[in-house]
Amino acid sequence: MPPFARNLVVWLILAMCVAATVWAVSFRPTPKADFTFVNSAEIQSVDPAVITGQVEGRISDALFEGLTSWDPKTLAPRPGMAESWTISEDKLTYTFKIRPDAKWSDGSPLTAHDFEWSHRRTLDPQTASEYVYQLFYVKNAEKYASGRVEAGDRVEIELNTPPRGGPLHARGEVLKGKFVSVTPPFPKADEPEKKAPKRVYIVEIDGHRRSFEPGKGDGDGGCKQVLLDFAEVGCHALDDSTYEITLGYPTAFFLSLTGMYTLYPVNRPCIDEYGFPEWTKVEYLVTNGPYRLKERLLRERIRLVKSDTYWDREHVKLDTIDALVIESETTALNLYLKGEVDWIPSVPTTIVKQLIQKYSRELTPTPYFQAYFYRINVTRPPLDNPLVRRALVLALDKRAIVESVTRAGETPARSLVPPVIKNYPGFTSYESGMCGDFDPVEAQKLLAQAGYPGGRGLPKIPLLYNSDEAHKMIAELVQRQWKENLGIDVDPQNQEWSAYLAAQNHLDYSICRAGWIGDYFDPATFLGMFVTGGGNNETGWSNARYDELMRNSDREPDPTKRLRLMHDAEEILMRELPIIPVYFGVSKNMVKPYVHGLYGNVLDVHPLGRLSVDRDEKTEFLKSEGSR
Amino acid sequence: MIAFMFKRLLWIALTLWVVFTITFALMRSVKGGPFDRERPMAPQVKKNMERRYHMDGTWLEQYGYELGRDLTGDLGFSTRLEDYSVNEIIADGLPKSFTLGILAMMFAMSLGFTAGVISAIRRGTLLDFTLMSFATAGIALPSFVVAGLAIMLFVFVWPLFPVAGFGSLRQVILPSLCLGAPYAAEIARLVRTGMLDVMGKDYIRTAYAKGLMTPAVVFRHALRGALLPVVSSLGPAIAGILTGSMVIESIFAIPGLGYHFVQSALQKDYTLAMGLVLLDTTLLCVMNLVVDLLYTVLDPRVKLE
Repeated sequence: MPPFARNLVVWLILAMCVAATVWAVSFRPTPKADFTFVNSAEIQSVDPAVITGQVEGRISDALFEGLTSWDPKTLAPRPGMAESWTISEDKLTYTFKIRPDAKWSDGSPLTAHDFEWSHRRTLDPQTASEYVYQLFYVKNAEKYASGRVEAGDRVEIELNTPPRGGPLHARGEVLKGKFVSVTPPFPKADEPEKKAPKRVYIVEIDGHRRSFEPGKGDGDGGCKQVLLDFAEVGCHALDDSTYEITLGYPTAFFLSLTGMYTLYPVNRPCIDEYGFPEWTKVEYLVTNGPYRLKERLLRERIRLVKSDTYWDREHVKLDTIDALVIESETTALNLYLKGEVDWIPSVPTTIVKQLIQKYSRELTPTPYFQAYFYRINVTRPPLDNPLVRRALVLALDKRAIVESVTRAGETPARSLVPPVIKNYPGFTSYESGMCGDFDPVEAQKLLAQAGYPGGRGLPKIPLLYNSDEAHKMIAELVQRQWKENLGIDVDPQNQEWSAYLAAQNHLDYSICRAGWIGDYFDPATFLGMFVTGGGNNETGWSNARYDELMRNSDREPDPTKRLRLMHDAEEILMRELPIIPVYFGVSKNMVKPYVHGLYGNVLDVHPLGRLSVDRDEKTEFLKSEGSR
Repeated sequence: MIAFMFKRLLWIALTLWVVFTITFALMRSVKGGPFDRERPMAPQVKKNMERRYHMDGTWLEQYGYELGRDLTGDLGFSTRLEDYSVNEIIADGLPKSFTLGILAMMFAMSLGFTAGVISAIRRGTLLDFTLMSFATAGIALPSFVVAGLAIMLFVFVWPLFPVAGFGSLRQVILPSLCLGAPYAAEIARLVRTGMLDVMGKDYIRTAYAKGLMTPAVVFRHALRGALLPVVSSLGPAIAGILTGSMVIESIFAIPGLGYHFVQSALQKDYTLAMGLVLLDTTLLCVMNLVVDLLYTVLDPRVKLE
């Protein structure tokens, strides 16, 4: 290479460095929002039908609104898109009156048909909604979603092509007929298929038998899917303003569920036009809640602006809200202490006690609908012996755990359902718990009875938890207590999140950490886990009487009797102990004192549409902060 | 030259394919999958999800599908960030990682070269000792310690910079300093060693004998010779620094790619993890190629083979 070329290359590289630096330092900062909070993780999606978590819920609750919405303090369902409703005598039929001023953010009216369309979409297997079971209380909804039809059922066949002239992503054209047979036939309900075979359906349409094959191309007999006729499902728009839902059995908490994101309406023209997930892009998204999506920067921030079409816009106080995506609790706390954010939904466990003392006005832990417990694999000896399980429970001093590890005012637990439901006759205080209190002497007796006096003859028991500092500290404390009180050797093992979940799911553990947060405000969200074969059972435990009580409680229209039935079920659970209750959690929101409308509540749900910031208080607060 | 380039590009393609295959097999052989959740999905729901992501076939079918799709440049949809395709996530995160990486690299090079040269000239003095102690500390200290110290000093004690976030120059200075620190230390040590090596050579003595001043000798003659080892270490370093750092990004809440990298592996987000692995491999191969090409520019004795 000649020298001048060599020099040229060197200069070129230098120029590139300069250009890169100039590019790197050019920013267009966004002005601060009226209210900024830390939303711990990047949301799974904006689409309310597919989301599952608290982080997603916060954004979804601001963007959309269901038939009802929850009171920020009591969580009681209040009128949302429905201005009123009636419930039939048998508690099976709910008739909602959609408010006349219900509007989408593009200004178009929102009607009962939007709800029918959205609920069908959530149930559609192609939507792959993870929380679809929240709709299974509706008559025939589960049958529709599962696609298992029986001979004689009315069915609908979705063809591969959308109706002529329709939008690109619209549902395929739908034929209706009577289902005759399918080859190969569906397996029995409790035999999951590893891989679905290609199926051929025979359906009678207008007296002619035709065959359909889902997954086959555009040609004759090809279709997307064959499902139960949606007309058979208990969701019907009677006219533009009347929406009727018929349930399979009386469900005491159904009205609350209508305020949950899985049942939110979504905009049909928008989805038909752009499809999933394109429709969730900021430039296309049409919503119906108190806020609109202004900007979404991946793993950075979500900017919400007040909607000018929301029916209750008068009561929406904040014009702009920023949700920052920050996963590190320490970073979030630093931002909060520096006044960069107004609300953080949790604080690091390691310093929670000091923070509560120093910032007593801003950090007030509140009882939360959450239980921390250990699952026991009851299929694995020696844990299949109830005496051993009982001994383990009695040898555990839970008070020591909440006092030395969690330290935010958690309640040690002696049952599963957190003590926050009024009228539920279960747990009210630690002293009156269902399973036994800390009693090492009794525990040793039980263990001797089981054939392991002084822990002799017991193999080392592995204790599984997902990698996390707090879980580790608890597991080590448990290990020490069982060693001291029973002479049992425990081997705490940690696994990263998805391996831990898989181990739990496949019963590939002996004892494992677990946590549960109620989906809706009812004991059933906890007790429903442990019915035989339930997806969340994960202990191998099964009790016919328990299943029966839970089934009866589902169908019991009288609320007091219903709670009684569930309480009886919980007593069985606490006698058999496929789980070891540890403690009931508290929510650890830290909020600036000038923020109003954010109440500690048991589901830890805080609708953004109800928040306000007092400017004068804020100025004063910042001034006093500065002088501190 | 053309034959050389052609051969290298062929090798890069082959490397990518091997990396793809190994990653594919490794991801599927560890416990847990993308649809294992805290609340296990009903089998029907899980099947729906698998169908949506084309993960309902046998491994071989999935391998064929994924390889075919990735070859067209479409890396598929993330199984966790459901609103985004992997291409979108990379397009969004890469510029942010680049921003941080470029600033960190500029900082590392300017500090590293200065410290290395000074250390070499003032060899054995207190200054040399101090600088090299810092360099050793920079390499030895893990980045979360450096970042923690920096936040304590420059955010809380002496409030010069904001705590975290991304969107203004002030917000990226501290993280890029922390990210660049170990690279600066590494460069300083390499430059010092290289310089000392060269300073003993005959042509440097000749330069001094001609009556040249120290700066002229150092910059025109010595530094050039000392540059080669630095350049060869810079290639992989740049590739690594540009794709982001998990620790720095999470401490300073920088929305770059480093965090996705770790998170996608932990969450078994097969598509996203694969996309990022392929991206990283490509960057690394390309940087190595660039380094090899630069060699011929810096050192006339090197010929492309």
